[in-house]
Amino acid sequence: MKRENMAKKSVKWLILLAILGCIPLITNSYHQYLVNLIFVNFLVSLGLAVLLGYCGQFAFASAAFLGIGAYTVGLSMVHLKLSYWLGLFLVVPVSLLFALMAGIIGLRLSRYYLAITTIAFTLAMRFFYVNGGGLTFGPSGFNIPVPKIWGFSFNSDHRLYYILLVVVTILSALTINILRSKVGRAFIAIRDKEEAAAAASINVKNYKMLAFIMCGVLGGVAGGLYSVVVGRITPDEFGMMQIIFHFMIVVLGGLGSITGLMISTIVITLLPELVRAVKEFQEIVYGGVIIIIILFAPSGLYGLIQKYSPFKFREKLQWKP
Amino acid sequence: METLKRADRSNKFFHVDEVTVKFGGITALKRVSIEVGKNEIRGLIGPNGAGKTTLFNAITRFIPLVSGNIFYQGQDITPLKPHEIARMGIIRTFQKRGIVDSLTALENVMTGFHRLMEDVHLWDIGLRLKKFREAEEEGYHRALEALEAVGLHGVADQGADVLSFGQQTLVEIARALVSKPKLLLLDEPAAGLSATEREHVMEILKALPSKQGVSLIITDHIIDFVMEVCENLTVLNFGEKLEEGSASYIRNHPDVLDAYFGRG
Repeated sequence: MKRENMAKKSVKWLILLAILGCIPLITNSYHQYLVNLIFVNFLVSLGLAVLLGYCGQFAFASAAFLGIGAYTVGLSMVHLKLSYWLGLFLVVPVSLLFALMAGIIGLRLSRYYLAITTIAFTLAMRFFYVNGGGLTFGPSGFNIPVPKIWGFSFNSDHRLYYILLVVVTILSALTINILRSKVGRAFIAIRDKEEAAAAASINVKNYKMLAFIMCGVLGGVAGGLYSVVVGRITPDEFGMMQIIFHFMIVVLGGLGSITGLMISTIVITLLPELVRAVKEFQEIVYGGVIIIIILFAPSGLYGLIQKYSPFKFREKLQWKP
Repeated sequence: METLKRADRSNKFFHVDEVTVKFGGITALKRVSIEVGKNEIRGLIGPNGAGKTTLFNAITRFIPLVSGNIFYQGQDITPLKPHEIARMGIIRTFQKRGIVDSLTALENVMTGFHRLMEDVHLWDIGLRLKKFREAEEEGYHRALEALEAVGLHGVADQGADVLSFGQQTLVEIARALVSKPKLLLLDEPAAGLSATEREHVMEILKALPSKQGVSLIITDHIIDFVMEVCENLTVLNFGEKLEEGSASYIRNHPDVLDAYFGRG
């Protein structure tokens, strides 16, 4: 019985993967580019969702980690002549280091101070990219070389998509697995009632640190992927707008929900493109639509699904055999 | 002072030694000592503000001590942190209920199982290895059993925020039970319960020492409940230990009556 269930589950996932793998067959280059952006945005928002949505830490460092990842990959390819794959691998220890630093600070600050500090950290990193001279190529940024493997060049949006599919699927699956276990329960307990968490033998400090590390590594790797998706990175992409962007995705999805996060990533990524028709009013319409969604779904899209879906729907934080 | 009943005090299972706690200029606990034997159910009573919850907070190290020590199974646990105290099997509940609102009743109880999942590592969880699956499955079934034991199996998958105060109390007791405690500190477990629920909880608590080898310290304002469940009582008043002894001895003690009702 149990084995059957597990087989059923894996078949379900394989079908989903196959469908995702077929996306490039029906997209043109521009649409594929948008799909690629959705994948990157999902990964980085997942990191912020762990830290903010699950663990309740008001740390807005995801944009900084995205930048750290993108610059680590780009600079290691340009300056050190490393391959893209080695650069992407290098992102893990680098973002881990920054995440540890952010975590050490984060454990000492309470919510609003933590928010301000992490935003300042993001802006400081941007300042460093702008004024890094020959090291970071200054305010106009630089082009990222095309990733290659054994002579095969990932020189189109369609080809890049398969890198994203593999990396994002693996990392998301690991993260979601970790959230649907004692770790996810510990995060939520810390978010809702820190004392109750400690009384249940949960090491609050360690779990907060773990949330920072997960946010850092997911954001960093997402940055490494982002760099090749856009092809050219500039410091301005990793500033305040990016922070707000990730924050909107997480809040709109509903704190502590993966389903909501997936939907809101798609909505928020595509929204600017959809309202492009109204040209000069684009920003206004963009903002307006978000205000309307928040008004009608105060607990995020996840809350909306729960309210209106015909069957009972609640994301479980436990593993079911 | 009449000798305490039944408890085997020779091994000094749990010993609070002259603990003092201050909040600013106010002395909340003044050199309070308590000894609890293995398998003993100790009641902790006293008027409002006597320091009952403060003593719980001091034992579980949520607040700093000015002086004094806490010994548990011969070990000085004073320097430990709250989660380390819990890890040793000293589990507490909260007067204002330590329920995690966004989790279901079942998930709340499963957080109690956290203590017994220490050796399940991140890679076991991420890759869904056997060790994780076995521990999680055991936790799931144990949590269901615990909910059933307190009569709440019907609401296992409901969000804890929609439960009544009484049900939240029961969930918290179930969470405490599932973590296999050795010493259980219950802060007003009978508050907000219906008469039948109270009766039910009473039976569960009374059976704990003999069935699972648990010692308990219970505070409550419902004196009948405390008298019924506890063998021995410690009375606190204005942060000091007023009296100590068997339930029947305390019930008729003039000083205790004074502390509760004032001198007539």
